[in-house]
Amino acid sequence: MLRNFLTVAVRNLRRNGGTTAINIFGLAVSLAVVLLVLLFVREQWRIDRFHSASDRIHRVTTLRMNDGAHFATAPTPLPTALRESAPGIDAATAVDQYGDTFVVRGDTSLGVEAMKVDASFWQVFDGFQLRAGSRERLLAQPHTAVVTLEMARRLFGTDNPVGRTFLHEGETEYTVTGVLAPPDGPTHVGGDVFLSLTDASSAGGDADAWGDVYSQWTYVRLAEGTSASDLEATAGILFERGAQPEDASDYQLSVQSLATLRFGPRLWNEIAGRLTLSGWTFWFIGGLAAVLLIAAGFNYVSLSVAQSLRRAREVGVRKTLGAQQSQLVGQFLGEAIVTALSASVVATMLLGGFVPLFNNLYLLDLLEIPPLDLNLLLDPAVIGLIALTGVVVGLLAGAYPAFVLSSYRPAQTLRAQGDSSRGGGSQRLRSALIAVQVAVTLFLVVTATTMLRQTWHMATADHQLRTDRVASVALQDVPYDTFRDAVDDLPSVQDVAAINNLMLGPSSYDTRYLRSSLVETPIKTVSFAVDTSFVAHMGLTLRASVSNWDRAYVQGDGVLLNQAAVEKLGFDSPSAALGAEITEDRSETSGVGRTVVGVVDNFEYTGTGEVYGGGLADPEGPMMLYANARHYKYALVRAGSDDLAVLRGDLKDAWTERFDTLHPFEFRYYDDIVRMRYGPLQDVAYLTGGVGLLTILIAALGLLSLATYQVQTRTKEIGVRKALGASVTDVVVHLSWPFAVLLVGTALVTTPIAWVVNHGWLQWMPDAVDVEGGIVVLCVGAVVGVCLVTIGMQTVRAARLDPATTLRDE
Amino acid sequence: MIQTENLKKVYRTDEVETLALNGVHVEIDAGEFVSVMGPSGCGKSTLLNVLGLLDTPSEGRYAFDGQEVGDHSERQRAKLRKGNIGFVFQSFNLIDELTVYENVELPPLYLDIPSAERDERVEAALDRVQIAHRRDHFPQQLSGGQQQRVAVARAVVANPKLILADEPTGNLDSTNGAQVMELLSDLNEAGTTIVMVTHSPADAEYSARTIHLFDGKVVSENFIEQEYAAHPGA
Ligand SMILES: Nc1ncnc2c1ncn2[C@@H]1O[C@H](COP(=O)(O)OP(=O)(O)OP(=O)(O)O)[C@@H](O)[C@H]1O
Ligand SMILES: [Mg+2]
Repeated sequence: MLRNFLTVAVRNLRRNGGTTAINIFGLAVSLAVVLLVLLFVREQWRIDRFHSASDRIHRVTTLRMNDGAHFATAPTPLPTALRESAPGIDAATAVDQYGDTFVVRGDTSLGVEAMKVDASFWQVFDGFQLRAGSRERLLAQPHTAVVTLEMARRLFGTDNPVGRTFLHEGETEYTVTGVLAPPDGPTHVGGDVFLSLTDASSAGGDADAWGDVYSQWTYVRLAEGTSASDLEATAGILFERGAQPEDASDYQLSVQSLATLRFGPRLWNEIAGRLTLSGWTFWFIGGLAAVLLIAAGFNYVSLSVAQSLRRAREVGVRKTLGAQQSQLVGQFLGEAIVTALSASVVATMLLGGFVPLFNNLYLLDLLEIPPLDLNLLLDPAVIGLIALTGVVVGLLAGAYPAFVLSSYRPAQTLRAQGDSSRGGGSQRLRSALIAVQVAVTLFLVVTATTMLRQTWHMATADHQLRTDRVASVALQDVPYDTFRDAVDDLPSVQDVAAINNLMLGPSSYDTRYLRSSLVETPIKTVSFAVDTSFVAHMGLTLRASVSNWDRAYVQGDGVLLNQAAVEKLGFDSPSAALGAEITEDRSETSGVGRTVVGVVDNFEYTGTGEVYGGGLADPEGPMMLYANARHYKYALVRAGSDDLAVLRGDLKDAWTERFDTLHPFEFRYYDDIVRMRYGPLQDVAYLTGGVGLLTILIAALGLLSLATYQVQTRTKEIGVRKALGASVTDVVVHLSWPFAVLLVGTALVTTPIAWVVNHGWLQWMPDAVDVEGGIVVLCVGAVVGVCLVTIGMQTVRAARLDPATTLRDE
Repeated sequence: MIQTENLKKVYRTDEVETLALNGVHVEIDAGEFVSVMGPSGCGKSTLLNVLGLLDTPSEGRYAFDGQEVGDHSERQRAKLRKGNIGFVFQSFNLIDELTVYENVELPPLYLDIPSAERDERVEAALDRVQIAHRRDHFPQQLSGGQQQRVAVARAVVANPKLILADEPTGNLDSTNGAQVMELLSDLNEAGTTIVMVTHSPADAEYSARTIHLFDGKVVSENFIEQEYAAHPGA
């Protein structure tokens, strides 16, 4: 029986070659995207699965009560306290992400990513395997370290690394006691170097230490039978007992399982960029893939139902020969599954093209998501997943046609050949499916276009801040003056300025509270430490200033305000603020005096945080610039020519020769920093647009085969019409008209919705473009146009046929 | 084998109601060869569909092989049909995607007959209609007469008790038609009950009895002898 199903399935699919190709290709395109998402989700799902009973691993987190901010960190003494006094816990560890740093051995200095962990780390995350060294009391001694195999090679070559030493940041000596094998899966607590964190255990129960909830992460391996809420209760009691009363009421501890860590919301203080598939990302890309899959599934349903006229006779014959409905359902489902499985094979090949595109996404870089590895496709689990997806999709797409087709009554279907009334009922269904496809396509295309316009706007907007030909160099321990004096005269350098946090970038900004005698309450003000040359070199407009403002600014307590700050602090005009004494709060009771020496125009400096939510700064809000050489963290260097590579080379030489042989040279083009503002949106636009294009493709393919099919079944009618005197145009219009009405109707309904939705999200953007009527109309016109041309091609061809041929055919 | 009482079949479409069968009484014994004749649209095919359990009557009683089937569900009817009733249609109704062999193989397949026996039966059926040499051809590659012979093979392969044939020669020339009629009367002689709709008096002569339908009613039942008496030399 199965063989018979398959034979018929394959022959049927082959006989309707065009339709089959369209079905397979459409499904393959969408399946490829679905597989991509599944692979991505699977990689995310595998994070830290390689530890034993990984569902027992939890993280204690901290809720700040006054603003609801949820931090991934927990009070510093908590792991020790849990270990010492909490029941039901197998292990608890303190983790301190040290982040990017460097280690030195002999005269090599290597940039590494470091973690500081205590000895319990290896019990909580027990899936990490050692290549050398002993797990026993690993990292229990101060100044010991575990390094990855790769790092061991780079530091010590082929020598046995255990017992050898390196200098962390060129200062502190660490002895290697273990070498880590490459882990069996992705992890969110990885690094190149694990340094012993021994001071935490000694911190014990000091109340002030309990108040430090931002520094360290606490991971716990629960004993069997202990629940997350048990741990939450215990941790809460320990915290209340240990902390100062006001801290205990300011914060509340909560517990997160690894599962919510993988897909849950991103918390503040997240340990690394690796845990990144926040619910939103997941839903977004999953949603896009689902839309595509549904569009392709619709094609399958719509084409199968269209063919039902012809298949109806087959059903009738089979039923008279003794087939039960269930057997026929099996047969049609079988066909759908064969189609979907063939599509999976094509999809796997397409995936080879999609994965590199996906890996190119800037977002992955920004969030430190490792790229997808195409070798994954060789993994039996992945192959199984692909096959399973094919079967599931086949079942879903085939269910409706299978049910409809198999329910035909034999007496009806055999009675009359070519009785087209049967197509009538499903006509409405097919129209609805097309309408939904076209609507989704329109929506995606309009949205992607709007996003791209916003991206371009943000990429090219005149930020007032002149960042062209500018690069930033992290000063690290080099005093700014030294750096400037050394590079100022280089021929490739035009200007140099200093700042503490990069404007338009991903950093969060400092805020201060300012008071003036003119207003009651202190004014929350974003502040930047910049040197005097910053104003001119970065193109700020000095609206008003005292004479020789730069001297007062650098030497004394002089500050520059923007116009918003001037207004908020109660001054009538920029010049009225000049020379005014204001106070910068340092605590509830004390402050330092400041003098306003100049006023600059408001300008855009907000960064990634402000664009994507979570940022606090408002470009139209008050801002203060002050001088403090000790605060400067970056030198901003403008190149004398457009060739920034020369600048980079010169600065790097200067850096290694003159200042610092320890710290790695950190150089970034300002364009790359600004890109963080619009790059993610650009990715979202590319994804949406890409999926939009694919849905147009799928919808057009579906229309093509529907039109083809319709024309085929109506050749006789066309012949008769022409024999009776209809012109080619008459026939084309007659055949295309219902499609045209459907398409235009769909466009009329969808366009306003797309408009409103896009207008809506743009409101969240700082410095937003507006939805442009002309462009929306253009998008809609393009989509409808593509569809009409598709239909037209078929109808024109049919209308051209010589009526004699079509009529003779019977 | 077949007993009906007051069979009615009403087709309702949007505008009109057609009374395709209007109180049909027929009784057909096992082993009979019966023709059904009548003008176009009088309800012959409808009657055959109802007798073949492909359609349900709107009213009336129908007993097939001693079993009351009037209120059988679609499922039950399908089950009863399987292996008991074979069909031959005017337009052959072979499945285009299947070869001759595979078309004939379908009924035993649906009966879950094991493959060795199935193979034997299919071969035998193909031999019987002398089409075995075309076993791997597709229907489109055969002439009309050959296709109808395949259809007959398919109708008999499961050894049904009853064969229903709706104008089996309607699309065939007289030579091919005669071949098919010979096949049917051979089958009848071997014991199969046959009910055949036809417009051709010549074909009706193969049967022992003819039922005449008019406007959904049986108007006369003539045995072949009476028919001869009425139309000598026809
Ligand atoms: N599915 C249906 N819906 C509506 N009316 C039907 C349907 N099937 C048959 N009829 C009507 O019932 C009547 C009997 O039809 P039937 O097919 O049984 O005629 P017939 O005697 O086989 O004619 P012919 O010799 O032309 O094949 C006709 O008037 C036909 O129009
Ligand atoms: Mg008929």
